[in-house]
Amino acid sequence: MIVDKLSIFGTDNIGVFIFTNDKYTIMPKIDDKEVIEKIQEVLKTEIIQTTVARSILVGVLVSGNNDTILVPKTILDDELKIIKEAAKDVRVEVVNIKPTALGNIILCNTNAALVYPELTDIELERIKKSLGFEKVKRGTIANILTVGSVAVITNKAGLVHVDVTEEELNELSEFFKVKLDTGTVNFGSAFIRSGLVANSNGVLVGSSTTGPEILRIQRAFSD
Amino acid sequence: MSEQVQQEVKKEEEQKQLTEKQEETKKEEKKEERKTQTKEVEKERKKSTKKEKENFEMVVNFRRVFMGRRTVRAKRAIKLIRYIVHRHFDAEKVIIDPLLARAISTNGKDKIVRKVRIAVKKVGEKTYLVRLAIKQ
Repeated sequence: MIVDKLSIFGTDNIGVFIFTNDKYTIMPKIDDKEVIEKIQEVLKTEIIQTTVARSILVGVLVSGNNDTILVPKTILDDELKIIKEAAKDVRVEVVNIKPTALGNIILCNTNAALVYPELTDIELERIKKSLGFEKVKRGTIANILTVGSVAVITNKAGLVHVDVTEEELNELSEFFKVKLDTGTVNFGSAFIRSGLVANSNGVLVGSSTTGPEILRIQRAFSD
Repeated sequence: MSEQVQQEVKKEEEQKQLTEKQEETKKEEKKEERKTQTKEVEKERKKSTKKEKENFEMVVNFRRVFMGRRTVRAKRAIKLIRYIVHRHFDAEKVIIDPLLARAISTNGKDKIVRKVRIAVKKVGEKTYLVRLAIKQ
C-alpha cells in the first residue's frame, strides 16, 4: 500500500476536491501534470476531469463505491454526460434527494452504507435503490451527523474519527465487514475525508500530515 | 601499392575513431551510473536521517485553557498536553517531564504561559515522554 502526500489548489484539504473508487477518479480540471501523474501512480485509476454543478468540490458532492457512483440532482447534463462516457464499467446514478453534498452524508463501500440520520424514509429508499443493496442504515459517528466527512472506508480497510468509542468502532467494523482504525490527518484534523483520498491500491494524504499520523494511516490501510 | 597502403591507413583511422567513440560512450554510461548511484545513496541517507529523528516537536496553544476557573489553569494545561499527545500518537501512557510542568507555570498557577513548544519521544509500547523543546 503506497501512502503519498499531495496538495492541490494550494491547500492540504485534498479530499474535498477528489472522489475515487478502484476504477475511476473524479476531480476538477488541473493543468499541473505532476499532480495528475502522482494521482495516477498512487491510486492506479483512470482520471475523469470535470466539475459537478459548476463546483470544483467534487469530493464533497460525489459519493459511491466500486459498482456505483452517486451524483447530486444539481449536476448539469454536460457534466453527467462526461462522467457517463468515461465511466462505462460502473453505474452512474443521479440521487433525487434534498441534500446535495452526498460525499458528506453517505459513507459506503461495496458491502454497506451509513447515511445521515435526518434523511426521510423516502430519501433512504431512493438511496437504497440507487446503490443496489438493502444494507443501508442511518447513524452517527462520534456524535457527528455528517458521517461521510469523518471517515474513509474502502473495500479493504478504513480510518475513522479519533473520538469514536471502542464499541462504536466494533459495530462499524462489523457493519462494513472491514477492519477499521482511528486517526487524524493534516496535523490533528479529525475530519478525515477532507484530508485523505484512498482506494484499494493506495492512499493520498494532505501535505501537512505529520510522520506519526502517516504511520497510523499506513497501519490502518495495510493488508 | 600506394593505394592499398592508403586504404589500410584509412581503415586504421576509422577503427581508431570507432574505438574512441565506444570509449566515450562507456565513460558517459559510467558517469550516469555513478550519478544514479549517488542519488540513490543520498535518498537512502535522507530516509535514514528521517527515521533517526527521534523527537517530534510541536507547539501546544493554551488558548482554550484560559476559559474557566483561574486557579486550576496549570492543571488544565497539563491535561491538554496529555490529551493532544494521546490523540496525535495513539498513546496510552503519557509521561510529562517535571521541567515542562515547571515551565508552564513560570509566572504562577493563575498566569500560565500562552504557548509551549514540546518534544515528544517514544519510550515504550504506546508510551511517550513529553519534554520541553529547547532552541539550540
